Amino acid sequence: MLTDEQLMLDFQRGSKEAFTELFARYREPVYGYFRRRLSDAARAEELAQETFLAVLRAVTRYEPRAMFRTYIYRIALLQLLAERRKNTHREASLEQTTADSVAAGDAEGEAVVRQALEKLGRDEREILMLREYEQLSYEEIAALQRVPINTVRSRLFRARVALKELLLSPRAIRRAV
Amino acid sequence: MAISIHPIEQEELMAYLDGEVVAEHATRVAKHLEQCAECRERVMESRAVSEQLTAWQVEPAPSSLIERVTSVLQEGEIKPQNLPPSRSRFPQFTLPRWVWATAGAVCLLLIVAAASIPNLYRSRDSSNRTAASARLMSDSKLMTYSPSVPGYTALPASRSEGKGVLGGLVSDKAESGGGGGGEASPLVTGPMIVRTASLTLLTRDFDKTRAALEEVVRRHCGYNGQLTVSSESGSARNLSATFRVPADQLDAATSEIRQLAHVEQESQGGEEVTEQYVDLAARLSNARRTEQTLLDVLDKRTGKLSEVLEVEQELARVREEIERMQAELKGLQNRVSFSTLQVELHEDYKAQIEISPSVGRRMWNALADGVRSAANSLVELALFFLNVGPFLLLWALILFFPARLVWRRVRAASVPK
Repeated sequence: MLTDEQLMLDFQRGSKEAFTELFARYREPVYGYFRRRLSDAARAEELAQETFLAVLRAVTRYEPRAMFRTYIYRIALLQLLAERRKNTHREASLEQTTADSVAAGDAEGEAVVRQALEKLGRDEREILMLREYEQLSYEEIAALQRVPINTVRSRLFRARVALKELLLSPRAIRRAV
Repeated sequence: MAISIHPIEQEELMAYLDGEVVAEHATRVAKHLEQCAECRERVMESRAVSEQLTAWQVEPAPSSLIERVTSVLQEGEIKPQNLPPSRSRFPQFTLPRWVWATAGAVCLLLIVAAASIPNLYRSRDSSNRTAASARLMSDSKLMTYSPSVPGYTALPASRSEGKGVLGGLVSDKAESGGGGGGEASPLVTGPMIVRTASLTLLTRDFDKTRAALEEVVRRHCGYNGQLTVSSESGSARNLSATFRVPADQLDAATSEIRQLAHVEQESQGGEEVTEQYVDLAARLSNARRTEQTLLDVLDKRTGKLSEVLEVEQELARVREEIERMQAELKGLQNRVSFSTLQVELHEDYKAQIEISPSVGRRMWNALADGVRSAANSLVELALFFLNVGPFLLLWALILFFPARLVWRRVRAASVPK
């Protein structure tokens, strides 16, 4: 199977199939990235679309200096930051997303998770989500967030310890039950 | 309170679960996990948390997203102005479209010019040679081409004496331009050959032959590139010289030099540099256009300071390249216009009988040396005593009385009572 970087280079040479394959690989992860961070599903879709269009437009300037995964998530992160700047007066919190989201699985368990995540610090939450939902490595998270890898590790550890307290404490268990 | 000490820190345990530790650490952690129930419990808890996080699932991406991106891809309706915020970690240097368009047009022109030069050369080559031979026969002194001959450019009158047939084949626009931006590249209208000749001569009258040699070179508008004469007494004199003679005068000059002395060795050579010259001229022209393009970019700059600096660096590099190529081009023209004539002149040396100095003089010299040595030795002795005298006198005074006392006692003891 071709790597993401090889597909991107193929697309640079004019292969539309290569981009179709990349889109198929990253469509769900990128949409999920926005969907978990924005209350508005339509806006999440638009930003996911913008992210792919940005990759399309910048294809001629793409150089395989970093992993494609980091590259596309970096674009997504920048889109998200721009979106948050625009909506500072009505910043989307995770609690707000509860009402809008379409429950795809266990709705109650989902609510517990979201409430627990909401209680984490912003940086720690972001790193934890990148690790748990986007499945990025420590190195990729460090490149994306532009922080040292050891910072990623320690923040992730703190986030997990806090989350364990929130999710596995008797109160949380009672609430879940 | 019981305190348990673990060789593996919890953070490292977490990294192990995430597959973020190196292999040897992973083995260590795995071994510890086998033995430590507490850590196993922590691992279970971490896994439970991760599992619980999966309860938050997101619905699949809407089909409208797929349709829109696919349609954009198929229709190719991508516009660069809608790029995302340019805080990408991949900063790029961009130029406006019109710069690329101009550069493309220039490249196209250069390709057309490069393709047409060999054809031009082929079509004119035969006529050049005919004209050259005709001129050579009619005028052995001034051999530059007439401006009326199509395709040839006359040399300036002040330079024409120094330029020969081959030198005249190259118009000198590059030199007259003096490094300006828009001058045309020099036109090559015939083969450019760098000629060299080498002569080794043997003469009995060294001075006369040397004077005649220099006269021949001067008469043929040449000059000394380098000249070395060795004249040790008691051996033959040698002259080694490199003359630069106008290419068209080389044969005549060589012929005259041959008459001056006995020729021991002679060789002639030629190196065609037409291709090298054309290539260099084309590259020079290209570099000038690049310089102009970069200047235009600087004039109408809209980019960031770092981009402007990048353009200026590129400009400096291009200018340096232009100067180097100009120097190379001039050097090449000079080598074609002026042939190199190397002359080695050896004297046919006859050994002479040397009369040695007279015996009387030698004896007198020996006596003078002897007297000088004797005087020197006396002076040295005096200097020695002056140097150590005070020291000896002091010790003599100190030791005199004890020595006298000892002497008296010894003498008294030896005399029988």
